[in-house]
Amino acid sequence: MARMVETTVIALVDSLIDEAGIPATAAQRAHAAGYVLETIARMPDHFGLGFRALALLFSWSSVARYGRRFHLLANDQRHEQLRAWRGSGLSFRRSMLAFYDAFATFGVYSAAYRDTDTPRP
Amino acid sequence: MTGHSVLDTDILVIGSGPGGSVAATKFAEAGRSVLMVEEGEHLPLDATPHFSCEEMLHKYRSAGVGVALGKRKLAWVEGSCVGGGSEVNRGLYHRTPPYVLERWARDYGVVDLSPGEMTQHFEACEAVATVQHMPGKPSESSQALERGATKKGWTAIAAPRLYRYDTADGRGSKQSMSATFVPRFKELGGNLLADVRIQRLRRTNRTWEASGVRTSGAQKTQITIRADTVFVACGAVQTPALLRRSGIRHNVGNSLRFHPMLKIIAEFDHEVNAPGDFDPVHQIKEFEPRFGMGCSIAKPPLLAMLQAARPGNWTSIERDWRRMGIYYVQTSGGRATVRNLPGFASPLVRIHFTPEELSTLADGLRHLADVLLAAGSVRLRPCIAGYPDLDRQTGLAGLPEALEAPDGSLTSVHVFSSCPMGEDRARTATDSFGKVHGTDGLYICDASLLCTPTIANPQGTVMAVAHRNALVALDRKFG
Ligand SMILES: Cc1cc2nc3c(=O)[nH]c(=O)nc-3n(C[C@H](O)[C@H](O)[C@H](O)COP(=O)(O)OP(=O)(O)OC[C@H]3O[C@@H](n4cnc5c(N)ncnc54)[C@H](O)[C@@H]3O)c2cc1C
Repeated sequence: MARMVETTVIALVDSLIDEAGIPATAAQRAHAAGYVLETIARMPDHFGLGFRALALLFSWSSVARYGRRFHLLANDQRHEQLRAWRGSGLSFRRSMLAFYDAFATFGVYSAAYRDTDTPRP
Repeated sequence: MTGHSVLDTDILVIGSGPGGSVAATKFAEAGRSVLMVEEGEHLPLDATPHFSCEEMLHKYRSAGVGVALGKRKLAWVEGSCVGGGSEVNRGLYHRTPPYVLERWARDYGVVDLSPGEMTQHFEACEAVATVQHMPGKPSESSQALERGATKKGWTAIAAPRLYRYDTADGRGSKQSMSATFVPRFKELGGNLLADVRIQRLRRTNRTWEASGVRTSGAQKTQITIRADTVFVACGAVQTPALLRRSGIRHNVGNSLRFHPMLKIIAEFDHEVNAPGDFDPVHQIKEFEPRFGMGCSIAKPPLLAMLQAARPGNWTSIERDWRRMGIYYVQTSGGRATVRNLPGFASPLVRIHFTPEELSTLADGLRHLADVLLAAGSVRLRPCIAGYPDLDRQTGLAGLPEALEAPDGSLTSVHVFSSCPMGEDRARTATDSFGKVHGTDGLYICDASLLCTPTIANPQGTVMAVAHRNALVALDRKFG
């Protein structure tokens, strides 16, 4: 179960980075995914439980349409599913993607802009 | 879980944020045996870069994820490490506005809290944790806000910070608790245990027993601490959660308050944001207590996060981040409750905003947009999904009369008022000095006690109130 959540989150973060057109390196993508996973592990336990359940739902919800779980989809299919959840009438789907958008973005930009942490000489 | 240790102390302080650290230091100064425990890690101030992923993971509670649920959700953050919020905050400093103290005395029956009586407590705290104005010019993003305010004829100030500037070019050291009160506490013989989370308090035979878990790497050990007197300083959300878990519920966790905040990214036609810039410090005071305005740090990851999922985000940030600043407006609206959920360690926080509070937020946003356009911004991006960009042509048209904010737009870094102090027992959880009503030897000494939002940045108030209450407790021999 934990492995399934992890695979889904890594694929989701990767797709969000692609969707946003961020030319991130493999290391920067790995940093962002690791950061998001660690955040889910540390978030309040009642939210964490919900987020894990939602990750599984997200992963399996592509099966009806494409016959495969999210991480096995082609890029354009992944992006279509992201669009569907973002525009969904169900607020929990939009909230879930808003969370991943925010934290994946913070993670990948933090990796890409490490040098701006340097204090002024 | 392996093993179980039992410790004894005269005074146990739970939580090492500004409230806990100041009180614990006063008790150590008085020669008492004091143990201060802290759930988070004990890390040097520079262990993680400010506003980095590492800081979020190691120094913030729940990696920075806190959401108050309700029709309008609010996301808030708190520090969780030795020093609490003082380690991650910007240290913008104010003494409590006199009208706030007067309101607490009037509406909650808090005694001995006049601005005059509080002066000695502010001074004593400022003698340990230095408060200074920066010597040189603040960052351009900060000065832009001041210029806008001047054009509008509004009062703006450059706030001092809990910071010691050692050189004229502004280098120095942040005066967090781990750099000021905590070392002093230890020098005076105080004991500090990090990585210890207290889960429950129990009174047996005139002694308090605090039980919890100590974490060391992957290993967890049970710990019980026996103390004559306990000071709970877990912050305004965790303090009521701990007390309620321990069966103490009178006015506990019913009145949590925030400074709800909305942000705008302002783009200028010149550089306002350079790597290594000093923290912006200007604040607009003109409309307080209804709302206040200020500027934030605007590193690229923060700029990006605030407009995540915006098309073209990467290109525009890469090209323009040095021309962008982050500005906020904050109010004092919203009332929240803190409750424990069976089977879960984290409490549930629920918030409600009245229609007036939502229109105050919207009005504040309009004023912020107005002053930023007056400051010369060429484009404003309200950080609220669905809100249009604004510029001099569009003016403020397109901003709604009442806030229509989807999830993630409303945030806060200030939490308080969940266990108000005062003599009016119908409204308060403790007496005027933090002693929990109906108990013996149990006190609160953190932001939970502040009867209402402070309007100004709260840490100065948390420290001064803790200082005042610690002196009174010593004077009364904890009776
Ligand atoms: C990002 C950010 C920016 C801010 N900026 C400013 C600013 O510029 N100026 C300003 O005045 N204020 C600012 N604040 C607010 C300020 O930091 C807080 O008001 C202040 O830290 C509150 O102090 P406290 O002692 O009440 O609680 P906290 O600082 O929250 O400390 C409570 C401590 O108790 C620990 N704890 C909780 N539960 C337990 C438990 N069960 N067992 C053991 N330990 C426990 C926590 O881990 C935490 O370290 C900011 C806060 C944040 C988060």
